[in-house]
Amino acid sequence: MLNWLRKSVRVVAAAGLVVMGMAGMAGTANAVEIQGAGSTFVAPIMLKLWIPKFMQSHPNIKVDYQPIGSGGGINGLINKTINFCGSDAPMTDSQIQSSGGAVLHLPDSAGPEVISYNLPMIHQPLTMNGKLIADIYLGKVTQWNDPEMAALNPGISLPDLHIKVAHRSDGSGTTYIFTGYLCKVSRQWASQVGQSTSVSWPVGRGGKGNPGVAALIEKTVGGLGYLEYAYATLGHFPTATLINRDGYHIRPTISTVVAAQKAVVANLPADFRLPIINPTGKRAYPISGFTYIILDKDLGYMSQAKAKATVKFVRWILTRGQKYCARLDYVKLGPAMRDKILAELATATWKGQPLTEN
Amino acid sequence: MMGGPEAMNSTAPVQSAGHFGTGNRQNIRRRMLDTATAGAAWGAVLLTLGILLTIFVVLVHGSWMGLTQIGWRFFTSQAWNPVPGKDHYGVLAFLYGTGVTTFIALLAGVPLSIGTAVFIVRIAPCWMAGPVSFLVELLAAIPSVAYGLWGCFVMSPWLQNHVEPMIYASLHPIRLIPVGQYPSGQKAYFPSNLVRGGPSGTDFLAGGLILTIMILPIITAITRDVLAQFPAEIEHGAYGLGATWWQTTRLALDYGRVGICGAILLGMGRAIGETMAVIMVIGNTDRISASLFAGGQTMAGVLANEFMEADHPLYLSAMFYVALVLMVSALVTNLAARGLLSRIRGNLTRA
Repeated sequence: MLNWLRKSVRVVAAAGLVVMGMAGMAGTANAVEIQGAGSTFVAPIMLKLWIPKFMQSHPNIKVDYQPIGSGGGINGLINKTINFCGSDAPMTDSQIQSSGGAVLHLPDSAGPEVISYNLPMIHQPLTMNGKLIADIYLGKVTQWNDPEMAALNPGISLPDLHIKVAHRSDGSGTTYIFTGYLCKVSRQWASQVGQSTSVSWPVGRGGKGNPGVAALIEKTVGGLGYLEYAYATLGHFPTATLINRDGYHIRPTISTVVAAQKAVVANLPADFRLPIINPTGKRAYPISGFTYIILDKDLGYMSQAKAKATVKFVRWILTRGQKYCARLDYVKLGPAMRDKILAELATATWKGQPLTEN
Repeated sequence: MMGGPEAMNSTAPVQSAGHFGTGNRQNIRRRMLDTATAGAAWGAVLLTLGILLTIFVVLVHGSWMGLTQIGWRFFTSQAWNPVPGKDHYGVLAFLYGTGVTTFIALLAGVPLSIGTAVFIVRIAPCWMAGPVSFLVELLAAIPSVAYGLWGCFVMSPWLQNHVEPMIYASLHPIRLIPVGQYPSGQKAYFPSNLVRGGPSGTDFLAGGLILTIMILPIITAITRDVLAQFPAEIEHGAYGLGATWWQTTRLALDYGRVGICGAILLGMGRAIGETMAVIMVIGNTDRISASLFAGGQTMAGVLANEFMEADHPLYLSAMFYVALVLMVSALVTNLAARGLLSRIRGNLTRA
């Protein structure tokens, strides 16, 4: 009676063995395997370009990256289950303490954010400033034809429509950077809401991920929300021109974000734990942040071979890997910035010994 | 048909007939097989219970910080603010969201499922019953993220542009019962307050309706099987006594009420725990509103949204606390429903 059961057990077992055998053969014998995890924002370039291109030129190193979210990556680093972490938000002081006290924050690219909206009747880009954006997200400006909006957009006939505010519902580095900007430009936002990967939003609806927010904006005339630049560019979403700290009207482009990095590079803290928010300068776009690779400063918890491979991989991203950024609309690091980060990477050690490349 | 051992033993003479003789190798082997099977069954049961217990222990352990620092205030506050320094955690809004969406799902899903099952068993011609049943069951095979995408890009705009404006136009002007005040000072009336804010497409209604579709196959399939077991003698007897088709169908539904209630329970379990599809359409806002057109959030939804980035200890612990509340509320509803079931079953045996 149980024949069918036995047969199916045998079939499943055989299939399992075959799969395991194939997996075993795929792993090359002498390769050093390093494991990364974290940010989903960096995942497209990491998985499509950086890791494959690096592994092509370094066949003896195998790199794996799991986009489980920045917080998950940071937890992996604290628990020492991974070799490197990708994160859009820097680690907090208490997280650094739990991870052993010393970590390296190494920006690998910059992530600008755009304000996108859905007003099909308006064809030229709208202009907004920090105060207006904060007031919209605080629920103080609720209509598109609000005087505050009209004052910044003379000559454009704004519709008498409700602003349907959209935000991220999942905890994300994008929200961390965006709320950081709102804290900088609005005292009320800073005291009432604050900065975090997820906050208690005074108004609006939440969508999961960039696609969720984009869907909320797209499906309602009058929608407005913040998106990652790369996502908005791929989808050809209309974006607002932002007025920066010095009063210049700035479009979100790769060059204005590089200009923003240049503006902050001199005042950057030694550990790079600062988003590129509201910089001064003629061409500097106001909302962008770094996405980081985070390593323990001393990589003694892994084998020396893995430590060397990890540092080699990160150095490759910061040098040769940078040219791939533009292909997927990531913003590469400016040269001054990059030199500073490479110098920081050179301080990584393995059980106290320096990890020199050879 | 039987397995290998018998086949081998059939060639051995004399002993093949003895079932209880001592020293009978076949007998020992059979007993060993008995013991092994029983042992395996016990092992499986203990493993399942062990996993359940482990989950519970892990949830309590993980939420310990929240249990001690937030305590009962967790259930009296609807504010959920994870910003470090300002953090404050209350589960009330998510409990409300889970309750409302599950209620809507059952309200719409139960009649629809039972109607479908009645159609399949008692109305549809033979050539149609098979395919319809198959298609309904196919709904269960669609992954919930696919429902979410469909909900987000098809159902939600359709609700916003066609269904909700109709509901809004019919309910908004009706002000029957005063039910307090909005924060703005405006007076609130039922049922006008159910549609406050106007059509949005991402709201409690959308969350409840996507769940309706998701619980449909479970309830339909079980109800169908229950109705199919309605004895033909009773059916013929009922017709013989002059009962109409509808009276006979009611008899069949009554006969299978225990099974049907079980089916509804399973559907409710799915509705309470469903995550991906709901967060794509519910609007993800941590507020309580009587309006069906307001955004909301469920317990499973907030876990899926924020768990990965819960990056400070109390925040993470509050997430575990939500998971614990979700598990306990699932347990409580299950137990309550089980009690109800046994009562119905009692009535049935007495009848």
